[in-house]
Amino acid sequence: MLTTSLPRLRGLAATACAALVLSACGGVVDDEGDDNDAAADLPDAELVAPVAGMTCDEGATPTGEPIVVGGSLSLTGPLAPTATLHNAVAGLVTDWVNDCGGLDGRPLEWRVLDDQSTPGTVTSNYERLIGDGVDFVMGPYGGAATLAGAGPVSRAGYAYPTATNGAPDKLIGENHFPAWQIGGGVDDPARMFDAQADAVVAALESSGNPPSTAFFATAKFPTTLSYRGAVVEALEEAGTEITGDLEYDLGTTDFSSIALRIQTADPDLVYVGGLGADITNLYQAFDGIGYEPRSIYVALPAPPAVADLGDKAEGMMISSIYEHHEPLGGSPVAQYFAKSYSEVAEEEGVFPLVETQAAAGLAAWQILLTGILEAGADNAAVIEWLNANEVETVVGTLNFDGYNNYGADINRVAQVQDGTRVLVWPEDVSGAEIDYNP
Amino acid sequence: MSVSSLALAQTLLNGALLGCLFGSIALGLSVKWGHLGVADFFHLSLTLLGAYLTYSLVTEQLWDPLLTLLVTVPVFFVVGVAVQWLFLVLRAEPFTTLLITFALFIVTESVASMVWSPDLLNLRPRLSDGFTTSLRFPEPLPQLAVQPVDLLALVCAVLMVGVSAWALRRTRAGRAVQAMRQDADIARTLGVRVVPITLAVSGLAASSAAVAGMVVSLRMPLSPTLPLQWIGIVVVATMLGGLGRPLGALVAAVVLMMIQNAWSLWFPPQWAPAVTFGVLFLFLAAQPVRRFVSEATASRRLA
Repeated sequence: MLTTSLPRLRGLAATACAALVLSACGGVVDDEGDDNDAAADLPDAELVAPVAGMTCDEGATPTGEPIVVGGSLSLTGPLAPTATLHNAVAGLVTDWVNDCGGLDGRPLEWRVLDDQSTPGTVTSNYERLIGDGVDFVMGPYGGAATLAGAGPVSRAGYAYPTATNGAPDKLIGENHFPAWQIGGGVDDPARMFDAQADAVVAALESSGNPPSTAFFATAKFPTTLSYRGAVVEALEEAGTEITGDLEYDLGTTDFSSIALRIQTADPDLVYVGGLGADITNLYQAFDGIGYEPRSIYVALPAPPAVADLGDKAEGMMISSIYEHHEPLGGSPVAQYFAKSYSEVAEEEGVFPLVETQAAAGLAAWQILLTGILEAGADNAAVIEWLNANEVETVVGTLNFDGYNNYGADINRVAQVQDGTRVLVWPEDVSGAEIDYNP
Repeated sequence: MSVSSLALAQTLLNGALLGCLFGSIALGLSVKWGHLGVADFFHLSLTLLGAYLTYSLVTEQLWDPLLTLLVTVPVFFVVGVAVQWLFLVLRAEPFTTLLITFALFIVTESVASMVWSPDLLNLRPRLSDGFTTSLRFPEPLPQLAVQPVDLLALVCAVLMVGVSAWALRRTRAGRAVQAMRQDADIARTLGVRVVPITLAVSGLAASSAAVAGMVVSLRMPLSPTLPLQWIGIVVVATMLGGLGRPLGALVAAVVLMMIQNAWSLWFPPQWAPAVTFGVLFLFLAAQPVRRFVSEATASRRLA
């Protein structure tokens, strides 16, 4: 016979009650997420050549020896979320060029090696690719990876286009052709983040209501720390009082203490020098204490982290170089890229809307393809041509003048308005005026 | 900087509740390390996989997160048994098991990247308000709040750790596990069925990872490298709490997170993880002194 003691019964009853209470929390809301809907709403676009000066002969089959472009990307490890996106762009561009009949009739081929987010592996990957005889290379993602790849690539005399990297004061060479460099337009290697800081301050001042006070919370990461330093200086010069300035460890998941310190200071502007999911975790901490920041600026958040915040992200300002709207997003190339990218990104499981990283990825390919079209499939000729000319890209017209070929300043500021990211500064590329009144 | 006592209370509360989650993760590691001699880093990966499976079942099948345990707990039990069976077949020494589980830890990250993508996945926007809206304390402390997910972490931790501690102390099987820990050969001679018990303990430890993973999926955005963010606190809590002592691991995780959060309220938050390892260092450094004192006390008694 089964006998059960009273304390055991009480324990079972308490467990059952706890389970029932927790079940009462409810379950899921059938919500597919706004980012997916937005991608589905993108209009169909006609196939056009990805770069100016190239003809698109739809249906023509490329022939001859392929032009092989090799690259090292962090397909695993902490940099994988963004590097996977760049791999998706590379695959898309390769198919795009081949759908247009190839590059001067030759097929384009993309060969990628995984560097596992380890700079040392980046170096050996490029040595291997060059040893295998790839025709051209595409740069990796990330500042340390870019520097690690620069050695073998430069020694071998290859052109070195890059999408985004955060090593602005490190000299790479005349073969380096960045699509977006934070130090663009700045000549002094010690002041490489000034352009981006000036863009932040100018955007805030354009509202007519610049912040009186600001609180800084920054991840311990070289790019975000340098960026923070420049913005602190620029805001102080503009008359903003810095009421708090703290750093947190990369990968922090519990922001409750930081949220409490921000709540205590209650500044006009919260500047989050955050990466990845930091902003999600910070807002969770804000939710926990019932605090709503008056305004917030985030340096380098992961796009899905911003999208998942939903209404809470309304008014949030973000560093950017591209958002998909007029004028930059109105070109046939941008339209085709946005639609194709959303489909490829869905398959790869990455954020399906084009923003800074994907646009910079395409721009880096446009730099390389334009160089090959204009100068031929020869690295020395491509380097010479790119150093002497401008290139039309999805993020604007790029040149490779100035310190380390960084060219002009294309640092911009985006804001979430009505659930959509839109450039609000500078005026020549903005899709809306900044809405800022803390 | 002046911080109100309420802010301190809130941050300590948040730390304690997050500590419950880390204590739940440390439970399986502590039991396997302490009783089976397996420093199982794969347990952290199982927690991640539990979180991803919960995410998939919730977003694709629209299951209630708690209901996902009906699938994940038995599946993970089988996985835990299989991994331990592999160690038995290989007659793996503790160092070998450490290497194997570390290899599985690395491989799991790549597998998760391939299956779920390396991008961030966040379940929170799909959850109903009941899961995400903070609950205020009643008077006289209405300024303090807790999140329902953190309460879930508390309940899961108390249930799992409570049952584990009770079973180890009060049941025949638990006492058999303790006997195995002291000397497996003698325990076997005395009739303890070592192999089935070892497999069952490993399976149950893996099942606890399924529960902890469910809470993780509700609590934070998922990425394949997430376990690297827990590994410090979980391993330190396991060691501070005493290997094989579930309650000790939970208490250690709670205290560590409270210390980290209190530190971050006054001092630079970037040093908070160093505080955790500082506590471990002090604890280990104090062991010779503690041993000396206890031996001196014992010899004085004998004299």
